[in-house]
Amino acid sequence: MPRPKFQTLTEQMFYILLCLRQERCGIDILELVPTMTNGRVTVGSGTLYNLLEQFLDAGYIQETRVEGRRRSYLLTDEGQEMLDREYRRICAQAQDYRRLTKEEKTT
Amino acid sequence: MKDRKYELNRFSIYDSTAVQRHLEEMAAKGWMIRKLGMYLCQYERIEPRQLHFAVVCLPKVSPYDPLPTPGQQLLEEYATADGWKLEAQQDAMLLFSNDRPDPVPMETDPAVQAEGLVRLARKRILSGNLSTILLAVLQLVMQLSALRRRPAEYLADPAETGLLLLWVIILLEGALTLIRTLRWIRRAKAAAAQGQLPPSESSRATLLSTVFNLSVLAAVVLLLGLAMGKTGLAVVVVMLGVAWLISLCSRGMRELHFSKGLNITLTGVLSVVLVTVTTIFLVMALEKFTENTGETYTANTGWTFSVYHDEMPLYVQELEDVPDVSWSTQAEEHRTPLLSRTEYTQRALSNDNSLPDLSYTVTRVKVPALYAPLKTWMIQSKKDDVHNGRVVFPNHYVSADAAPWGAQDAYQLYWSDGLLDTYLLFYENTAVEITMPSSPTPEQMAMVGEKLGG
Repeated sequence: MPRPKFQTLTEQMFYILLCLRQERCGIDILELVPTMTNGRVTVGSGTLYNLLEQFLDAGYIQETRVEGRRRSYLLTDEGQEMLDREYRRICAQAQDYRRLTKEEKTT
Repeated sequence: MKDRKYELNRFSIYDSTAVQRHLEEMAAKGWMIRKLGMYLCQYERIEPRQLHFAVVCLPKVSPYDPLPTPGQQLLEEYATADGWKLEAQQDAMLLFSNDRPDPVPMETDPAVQAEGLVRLARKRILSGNLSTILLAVLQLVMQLSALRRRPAEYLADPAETGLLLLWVIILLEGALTLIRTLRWIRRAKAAAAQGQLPPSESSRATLLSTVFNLSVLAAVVLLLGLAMGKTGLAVVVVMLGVAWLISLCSRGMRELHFSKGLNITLTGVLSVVLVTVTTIFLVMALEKFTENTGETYTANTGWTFSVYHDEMPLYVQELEDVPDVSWSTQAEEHRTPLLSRTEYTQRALSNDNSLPDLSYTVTRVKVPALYAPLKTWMIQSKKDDVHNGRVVFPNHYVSADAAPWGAQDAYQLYWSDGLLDTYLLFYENTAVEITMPSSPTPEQMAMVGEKLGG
């Protein structure tokens, strides 16, 4: 079954939203994501463009400035909520992992 | 050495994996994509190079948006940062190349890529195909209704029979493309859910589809040519020219940065004006072109008709004693591989209104299996006018004695308040519709059977 839209975030969705806790433009995001993940995650330009469009449509980000071609975006309250929900989901996964591996070691 | 080359577009617009692979192969051979059309791709000669290609879809782009769209400009800016260069574009599909050995791919999230492609496939292919299927169904209903009303004329006319066949083929192709696209969308969504790229499509199927669409276009031109001769071909060429001009103007408005709304409005107005003006011009030109310059006869009533000297299998002189006057004898034949149908008309070139006319039609069935249904359709082609279950105007065939005609079956037309001297006769693989000059004698009936029924 296909994943319902934005019910969970892919890594790239997560890091793009994380970048936009401060006002940033698309090029900044392309450079920042590999830096903040030590090169583990990169975002392709096509993917970035489509995700920014989708986040705008969903109301997770807003356009704050347009200077020529350059557009800047900022996370909205809904976007922050989505990011928090994803963080809690990842934490729950990590807790489950820790609990289960600990149980296995003790038995 | 040629610097440009063209090839048929073998790839569906949503089949990015296959497109990328093909463009990489072409660049390695020294050809760079320059124009991406629905049916044709144009390549330009370059130094053979190992390049990477990427296909990015902008599903929100409309065919009327000003060029370059703000979205496209933004995407180009992001792409340039990673070394990608825009090479060609077809509406919402953008092709980029990159000469770096290991570039960051433009699409790094299969789910996002699949969603874009699926949205584009839905918007362009599904909606386009549903319109085609709807149009084909409507056309088939109209064609079948015409077949039911005048079966023999219809099946003997190569243009009409060809159109029926053509719409059946268009319906089947539309349905197959629809099924193929829906299957691809299902597979693309499943692959994206597994974190994989959308699956590649068979390029052979897409190539076949392209060849089919071009063949259909050629068949339409040929059928109209068959139906209307050189004038028909001229009409088709002029109308195709008008369609091309409209699309050129719309494209020009995009490049001149007209807004989407203005472009749609102006294109609509231009289409109405151009089609109306061209139609008026064509009608006037055709009237002039088809003006009868052959032999004509004007009766004292002032009515003028064309005079023909065709051969007929049965003349009115063989049926009745008539004065020695000149006659116009016309034979108009239509034939298809299914059947042939010839309409014969004999008319006196005289002001004596008592001289009889003779008209009959001979239909010969070439496919035996068609004879029985055709016979039923021909008998049923005359229908009473019925309102609220009451016959208000009779118009039907009644069974008649076939023996004097030497026929297998015979029917006589009952029209208004009595029987007319119009008969429908069935011989072996031959049907004859004849209006006799007067109530036929047994000798005249035998003569008709002998001359027309064989």
